Amino acid sequence: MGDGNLGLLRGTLDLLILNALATGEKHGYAVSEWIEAVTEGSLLVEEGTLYPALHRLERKRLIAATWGVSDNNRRAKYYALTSAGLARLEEETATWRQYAAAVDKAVAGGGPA
Amino acid sequence: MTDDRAKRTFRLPPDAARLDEEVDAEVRFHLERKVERLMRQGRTEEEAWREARQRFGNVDRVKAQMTREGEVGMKRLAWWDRMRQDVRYAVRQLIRSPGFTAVTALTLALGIGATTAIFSVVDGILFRPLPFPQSDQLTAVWADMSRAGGPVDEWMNFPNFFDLKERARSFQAMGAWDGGPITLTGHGEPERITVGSVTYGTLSQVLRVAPALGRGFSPQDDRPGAPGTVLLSDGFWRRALGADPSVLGTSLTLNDEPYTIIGVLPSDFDAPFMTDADVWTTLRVDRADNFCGRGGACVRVIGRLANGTTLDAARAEATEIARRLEAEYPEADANVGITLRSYRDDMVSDTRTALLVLLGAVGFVLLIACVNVANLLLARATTRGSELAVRSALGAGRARLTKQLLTESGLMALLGGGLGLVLAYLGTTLLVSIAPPGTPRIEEVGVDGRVLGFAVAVSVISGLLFGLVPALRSARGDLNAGLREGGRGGSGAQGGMRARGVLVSGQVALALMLLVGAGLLVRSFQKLRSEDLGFQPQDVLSLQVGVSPERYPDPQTLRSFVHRAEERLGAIPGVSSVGTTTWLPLTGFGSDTGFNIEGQPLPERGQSQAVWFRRVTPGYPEAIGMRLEAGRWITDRDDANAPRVVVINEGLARRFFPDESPLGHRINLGNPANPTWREIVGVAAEARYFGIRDDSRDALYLPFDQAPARPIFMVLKSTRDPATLTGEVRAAIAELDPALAVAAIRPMDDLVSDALGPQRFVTTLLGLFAGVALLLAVVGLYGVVSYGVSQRLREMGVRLALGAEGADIRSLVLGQSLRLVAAGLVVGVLGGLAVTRLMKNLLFGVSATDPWTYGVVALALAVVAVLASALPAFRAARVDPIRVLRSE
Repeated sequence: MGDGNLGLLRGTLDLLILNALATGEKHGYAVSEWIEAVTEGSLLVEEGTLYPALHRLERKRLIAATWGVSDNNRRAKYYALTSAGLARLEEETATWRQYAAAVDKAVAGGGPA
Repeated sequence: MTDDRAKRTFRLPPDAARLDEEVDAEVRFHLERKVERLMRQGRTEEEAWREARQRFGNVDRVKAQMTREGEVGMKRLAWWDRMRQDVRYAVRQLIRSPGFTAVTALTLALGIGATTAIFSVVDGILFRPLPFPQSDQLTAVWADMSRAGGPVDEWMNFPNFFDLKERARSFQAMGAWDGGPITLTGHGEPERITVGSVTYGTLSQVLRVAPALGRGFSPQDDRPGAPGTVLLSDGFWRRALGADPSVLGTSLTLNDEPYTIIGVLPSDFDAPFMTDADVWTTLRVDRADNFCGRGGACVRVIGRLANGTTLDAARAEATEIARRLEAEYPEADANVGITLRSYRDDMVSDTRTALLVLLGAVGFVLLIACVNVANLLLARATTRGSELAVRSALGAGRARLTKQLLTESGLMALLGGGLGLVLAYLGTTLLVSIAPPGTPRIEEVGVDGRVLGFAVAVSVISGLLFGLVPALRSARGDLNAGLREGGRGGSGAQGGMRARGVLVSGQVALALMLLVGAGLLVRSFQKLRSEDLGFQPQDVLSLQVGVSPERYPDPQTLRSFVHRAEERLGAIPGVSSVGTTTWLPLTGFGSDTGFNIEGQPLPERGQSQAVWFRRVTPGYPEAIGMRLEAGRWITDRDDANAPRVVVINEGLARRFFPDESPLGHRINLGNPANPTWREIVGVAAEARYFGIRDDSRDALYLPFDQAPARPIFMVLKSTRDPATLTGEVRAAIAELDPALAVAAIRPMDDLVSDALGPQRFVTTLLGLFAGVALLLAVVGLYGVVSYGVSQRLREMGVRLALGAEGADIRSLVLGQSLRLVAAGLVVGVLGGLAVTRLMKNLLFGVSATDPWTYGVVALALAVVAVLASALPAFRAARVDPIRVLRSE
């Protein structure tokens, strides 16, 4: 993962993770599957980048982790949204929509020739 | 999710090995699930693993990043975790020994509470700025008469005030004020209320207060001869006028003169002078005022320094102006200077020493309390030696142990501080209610943010103070020894004993200093109380009658009123004598005048020679119980038509007639160029007119009938409790003239009590602190000695087994504790000699180094100390050597 586009990528990835957890707590693999499903595999090129992001969000207390046992009886680390995480998600979603709408408009408008 | 119900959860422990393991497990889980899915899609296991890894990216790098994130969080978590652990552990420790916790918390609460309560009073009175905009600019301005043999802070006169106000560039505004009681009529019963009279600008420019309702004074309102205008205080407006805004523009009758109400002052206005003023008027004087010309002293002055001007710069300018006035008016202004003081300091100057002494004393109490707690902790640290040793052996570092112990003392300090705050709140309320009458700024005292901050700071500092020594000692201590001796705590605790010994000696020293301070104050108070006041206040009722100048305009009417009033009051059953005077003792007010004695030289130019004078009726000396030293008192025969006579006091007699009897000599009051000679017919004992501590001042008494004047104070000697007379007295005056107001009606004993108030206040409090200090020190001593004995039982047993007598053991223990006490006494006496000098202003009739007080206090402390050590000493002597040695 190149550090050059980390800022944009990290922000986007954080938003995706928070979104994934908004529907309920998941382990890392389930998060990666969710992201793959909703983005049709276009965003998360390297699944491994998900994990440092999860741990960072955990440290910031936006998500909380517990160890549990998965449906096929294996030990797995589950992540859930905290109330701070939920608040952040709403905030970031709003920002993202504005940002996306602005870029969209600029691109659609053709801009200066 | 289907799998969350099946979950088994546990807390994440902050542990590096565990972290690595978890990162591995998490990544492995991901890869395995991916492989499963790929295999379900038809890949071979080998293909599936390759693809899963490829999709995942660089596994090692991801793991490293995960670990890094984890470590950052872990450090934070670990800190919190340890903190929580320490606190939880400390709470457990405190709960485990509830007695210990209660004693320490109460001891601390006492110290912190008392200190905070005193601080709240000291802060409100001494430190907090006055409640006015840029209040540090407010300056008290006095005439400095010190070169003429007078006080440095004499009142000013109008010409000098106006000259100074016009010339001084260092001041942006300056105002003069005066005030006192005045009779309000036309609103129900005639009433004596308090008026503050000011020059224009005193309120608006110097204090910068704007009326809440209506307008303030204008320059026109302050012209001589201007119609009267009055501003109401919020309290008076509410109390007397029902807070009716429509009173603006209506008239108020004060001393039979109409005043137009022009405004109401804000409710939070709290004048730094005339604090109890009900109404404010203008002085309406100018430079030409002949009532108080140059040489007079009739107004007090407050100024506001110009922006950016320092008090020192203003002083320099004022000195220069005073010098020029001296040159311009050598007759009146020679040797007259100007004193400037910060108004806040000026207000509280009399109270300052007392308050600072109390703050210092209560600080000592807190220190003693801290020492007690430190001692308790040290003692406990020894018994906890093995516990700490075990914890250390299990891997707790010294820093960790110290932190643990400090957490415990911090928690204890917070507990004590919390309780102390409750005590402080109660204490402050109590202090305000028992503060002597006339204490400046007392209404501003209360528990607020500053006081709260102080309490927290004091708690934290105390926690460090009493916690640090035991914590450092325990962490430094020989832990192996602790383990080896187990709970037995033998000679390994010697170092702890020494530390505790030093602390106990310190406590004794502090307690001695406080006791000596209290002892000196008690002796002063006794001396003050037994002072010969020069009159007999018992069973005497005093009152002031507001005899209005409009209804009694000349000497004849005033004289006849006083005659009728004395006759009428004398007829009240139980009243044995009645007298009238212009000024009462102990009130601190009076009139003075220049004088000269026939046949003696006039005072040199620039030197004033003044005497206080009171007009009295023949009944006055008897009613108030004044003693005559020589000659005779004023009698009924000394009436308006008789030759002028005067009774002088001893001080005047001593000073001007050192070698002969003053009787028969003649004295002139006022202008020596046009003398009215009065024959001296008697010499009266000195009476305390200016306060209970005040030394004598030259004074004389004139027959009221020969010079009737206001104010009119009357005194009644009674065979009944004077307080029961008030109703009949009011009725009698109302019978004579229903328009006259009676004020300040109270037994003379109350005046004496008020005069003793400040001294009683500081004596009571310091006595209380000294008592608490003594108690704490004794408890501390007892604790240390009996603890020492319990630690050395084995040694005692051996000594007894080897043939020592019980008496030997007793004297061994007693001797050791007495050594501690003796060291404390020596340090305490030296410290006392250094510290009590600061309270010289508070002492009366006793020197700050009074050997009697020092001796008695040291002896008493020694006796108490012996008693406190005797109990453990006897216990040590009764040790059964067999039992003790077997129990090993």
